[in-house]
Amino acid sequence: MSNAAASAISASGRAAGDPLTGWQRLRQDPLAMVSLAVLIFFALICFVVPPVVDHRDWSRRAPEQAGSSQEASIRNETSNFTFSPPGTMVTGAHGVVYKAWLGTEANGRDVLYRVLAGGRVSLLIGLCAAAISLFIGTLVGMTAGYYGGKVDGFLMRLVDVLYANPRVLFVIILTAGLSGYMTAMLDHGRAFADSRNWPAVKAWVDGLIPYKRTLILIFSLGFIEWLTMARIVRGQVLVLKEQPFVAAARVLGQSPRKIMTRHLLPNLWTIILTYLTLTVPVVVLDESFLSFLGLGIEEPASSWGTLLKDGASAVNPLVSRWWLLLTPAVAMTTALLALNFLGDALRDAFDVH
Amino acid sequence: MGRFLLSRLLSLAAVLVLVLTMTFVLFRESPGGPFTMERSLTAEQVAAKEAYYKLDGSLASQVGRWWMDALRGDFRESMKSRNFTVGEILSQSLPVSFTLGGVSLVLAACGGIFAGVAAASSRNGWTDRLTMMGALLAISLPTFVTGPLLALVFALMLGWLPVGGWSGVKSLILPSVCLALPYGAYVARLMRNSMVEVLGADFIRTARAKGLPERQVVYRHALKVAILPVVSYLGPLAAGLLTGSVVVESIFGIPGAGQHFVNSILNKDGFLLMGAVAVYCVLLVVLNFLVDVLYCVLDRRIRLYE
Repeated sequence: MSNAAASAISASGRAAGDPLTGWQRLRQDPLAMVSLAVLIFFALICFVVPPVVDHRDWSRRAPEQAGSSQEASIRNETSNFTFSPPGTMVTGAHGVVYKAWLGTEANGRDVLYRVLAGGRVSLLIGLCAAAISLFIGTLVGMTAGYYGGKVDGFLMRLVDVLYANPRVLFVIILTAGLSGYMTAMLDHGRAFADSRNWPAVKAWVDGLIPYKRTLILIFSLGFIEWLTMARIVRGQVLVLKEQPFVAAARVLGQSPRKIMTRHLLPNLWTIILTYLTLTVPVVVLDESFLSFLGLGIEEPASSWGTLLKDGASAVNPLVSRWWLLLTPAVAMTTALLALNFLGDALRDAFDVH
Repeated sequence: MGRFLLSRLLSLAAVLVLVLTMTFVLFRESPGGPFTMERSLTAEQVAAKEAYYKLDGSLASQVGRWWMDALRGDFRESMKSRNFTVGEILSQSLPVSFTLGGVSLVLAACGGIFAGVAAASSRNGWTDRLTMMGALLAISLPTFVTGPLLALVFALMLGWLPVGGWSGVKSLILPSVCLALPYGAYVARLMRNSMVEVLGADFIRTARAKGLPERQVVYRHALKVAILPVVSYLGPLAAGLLTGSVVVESIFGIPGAGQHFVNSILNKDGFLLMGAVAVYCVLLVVLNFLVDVLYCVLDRRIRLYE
């Protein structure tokens, strides 16, 4: 994306005294840059570490020794010896001894590993669902804004009607409804591949089955979150289509589709990027909301929401295993704050409202 | 104003019909319904069950009969908790949810307005910065993070308040604070920004020039105008509290309607789900409408939109 594309409606060629472009303004915002660095770091460790390391090495086999009296008391109270507080030396399933920096959970699995693996699912759902919602939102917004009149009235009325509902209620109904369809679809796909003797397709479908809930969440969240995007894009298109270059394209006889993709879309990229950044945290929050209630991601897969659920249930009057709650809470809050800061900075830099 | 409100009411009613019908169709049509789970059932048994639950015939007639029953106030029998009607289940749990939601609404609105006004009157000062930082943090923290953390600190470590349950005023404090926190923070931000704007207006300068005390200028003159964005946020606020209370009820073990909503989905208890969705939607429609009325009363300029 070039600077020229970045500043929505600007003549090319900038003198030295001209105001800064959006990207330059963004680069001078320390909070935005720190947020970006945090996000890149999170993405790297969440997407790179879990597939590379063997998770069995990162799950506790048996207690080291009687250890501190606190650990002994935990064992006595719960007869569950697999919890260990942060910093304990732990023997993995393959005999590897390592330091569990963030402790282990009920089944002896390492909390750090789970937070990374959970972050992968949460961020993946956030990105994919936000991408779907951006696609729908941009499409609806551009259509409404460009054609105006009755099309605009109908689409925007639809958006208003949907806006009047709580998103989460919709998402819950949609996930519950889609769940059956998705299972049936995957089963049919598997049987079909089997009957045609297509092992590769069958293996691919088999590989998708554990991610069934993830897919459902991506679709239902993506289908719900596009409303804001549609409104914003429509507003911007209303401004853009009065510009001379659009009129020129129209006079030259370009089709509406071409005007939209060639002339309008390049000028919408910064808005789309801004709202992508702002939609991801919303989706991540919704996903963890559902997972927390047990309506989202299911065991053995984990997301930040399921980890928070486990953490919340581990806080009880007998033994409070605070590390199970605090670790995912800190990870999620940091990621959400960074995304929101970056989104706000993008919005300020490109002056989108 | 009347016509504006009437059209709002109609579109809200359309939302209600749309959402409930969509929910019914999704649940009836989605594979793996309440009867297909029990694989041992023969076709005749399934047919008998469908007839018992009035789920036979065409989809349109099923939806139609459900609506006829619902309009008469009969939400039918729960499909999992036999011998209980959906009406009974919900009427036992709704007062609990209403109490929690009402207290949180008051907390969020009053706390947010007060914090926002305080921040605006010390613009760019320490109160302002601290309040706005705190508000940003509170917005970013979801209730399922703050809830267990609040319980950990105030119930388990300090032992001041009960961890959960529903036993008197003390057990209401943590859940309602937890539920109100993010929305109160949002209200505070709205309030602060709008107040800063209003405090720079001419009529405020006049009020100050008259020699009115600052408190009177802020609370008597400026607040009346500055509160409008907060009023228009009350609709989304109520919606947020409704759905948010589902999570808060589950964290603090409160016997409200939220648990039935979640369980109805997990158990594929279609009629209970329909009942819960109906209650939530009706509440939202009514609250949204009340907010519109309130807005019309407060802001006479809205007549322009007629």
